[in-house]
Amino acid sequence: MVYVVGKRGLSSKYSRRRLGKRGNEDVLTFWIWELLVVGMIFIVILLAIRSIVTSNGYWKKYYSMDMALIADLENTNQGDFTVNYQLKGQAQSFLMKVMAPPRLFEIALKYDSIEVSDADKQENQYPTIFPYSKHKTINVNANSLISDFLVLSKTGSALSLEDYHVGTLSKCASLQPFDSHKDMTTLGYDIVSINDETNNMAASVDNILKNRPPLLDPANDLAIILSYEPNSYFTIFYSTPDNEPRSHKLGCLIGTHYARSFPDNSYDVLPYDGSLSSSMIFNNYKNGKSADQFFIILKLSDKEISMDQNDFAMLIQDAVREYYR
Amino acid sequence: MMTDKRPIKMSDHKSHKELKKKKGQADYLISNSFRIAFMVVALIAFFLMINFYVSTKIDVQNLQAQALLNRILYSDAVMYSNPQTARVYVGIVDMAKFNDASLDASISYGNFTRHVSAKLKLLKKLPEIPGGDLFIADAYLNRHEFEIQKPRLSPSGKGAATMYITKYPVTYLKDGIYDYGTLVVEIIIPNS
Repeated sequence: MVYVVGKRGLSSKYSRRRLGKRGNEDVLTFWIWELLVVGMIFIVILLAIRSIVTSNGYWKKYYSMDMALIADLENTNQGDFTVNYQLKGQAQSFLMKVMAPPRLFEIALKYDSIEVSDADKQENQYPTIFPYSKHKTINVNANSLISDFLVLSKTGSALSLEDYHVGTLSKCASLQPFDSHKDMTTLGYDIVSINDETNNMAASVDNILKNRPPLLDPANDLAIILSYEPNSYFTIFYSTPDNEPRSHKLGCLIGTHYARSFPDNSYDVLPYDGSLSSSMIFNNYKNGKSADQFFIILKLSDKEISMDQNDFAMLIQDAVREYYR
Repeated sequence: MMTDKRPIKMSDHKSHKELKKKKGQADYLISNSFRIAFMVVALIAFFLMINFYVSTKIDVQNLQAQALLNRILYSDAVMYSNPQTARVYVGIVDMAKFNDASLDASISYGNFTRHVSAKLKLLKKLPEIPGGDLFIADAYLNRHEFEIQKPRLSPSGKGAATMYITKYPVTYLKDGIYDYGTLVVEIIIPNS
């Protein structure tokens, strides 16, 4: 059998004399070795790029410097000072998932510095440290935690670093609802009315939200559910647990706008307590959606039902717009 | 024993039989050395280019200096503060606190003494002498480190340090008397 691959291909390298049985073996051996070397080099390059992409050194340095400088400023300030600090999210494309798994850091507030280390201590045991200057009257509540949302606060004479706990926040977190503004589409939302009393209000909210400019949302999954309970007060329930921070932020914003518009009325922002589990409308709606769908339940009282529907719908719109801003 | 009399070419691949001989192996290595060398150079260039374009440097020296300056100007380290209300009167230097001990106690970097150091100098303007200033007092934050770092200001590079100088018009309070002056803040931050 004779290989002839063009005038300047194999035939020029391997004479017809060589391309006998032994010649074929030589050619095959040569190509196998060549492919092995190419494969090895490709793997080495891929591993090198991966190690650069997944290297947390830059981000450890960045977060330690940033948070230490914030801590420095908090020690200057005489009043209370709270900073909600969200660590940078990562692109969730397929390539990035394969090349760079999500970063997890352990962040520690020490007496005189901020230390950032890899959450997996075995991966890299050396933390990045950046000092800050503590005021003589400040007591540091040294703490260490693994989270992508941190609250660095100076309250009274205590400087502390905490995780994001929706129930204990005194104001709405500066949480970004999404990582990127890429691939945004016009917000697709559902307004669900549970009771007859809330039908008109739901229609008003829907009409107001349809107004221009359109809201943009990459997730396209907002649901505002309105229910009515007589002899109660306005309560905002946020969905738990998968979308808790996002849902809580929207609920918190609605509450803030409500308090601004109706300062004499009382309201509450609470985690969803399952009170609508017996509602057929609610169950039918939820059955058609994924389990982790992001929703807000507005339990209206007689006050909200009797007030101008446009005013109420407007405050919902303001909160939603602020959320997606 | 058969020998191949053909001249060796770069592209010539040795046969199985030839590669069993020492000469054949040497020929094979020589003929492929250019390829290997080229591949090594290409790989090195590839990694150098990747590392060149990946930036890991974060320079916050200026920000550090500004944070410390604001700390000095707006905290009670050297500024007058009401002992009852703890309110700080920004821009009024309390000469009773204008000393190393007060500065070091108010602005402490703990074990990181090398992080930053500063010298505060208070001057009084003399209107009768154009450009003339009268030295009133000075105070150091981390004096020992300041004196170590000061000779390192002139060279550049990682082992050197950078000084940031800011002048700030202030009122100073000394023995119950207020007067106008200029606060000169010299902040030294090591380059690495």
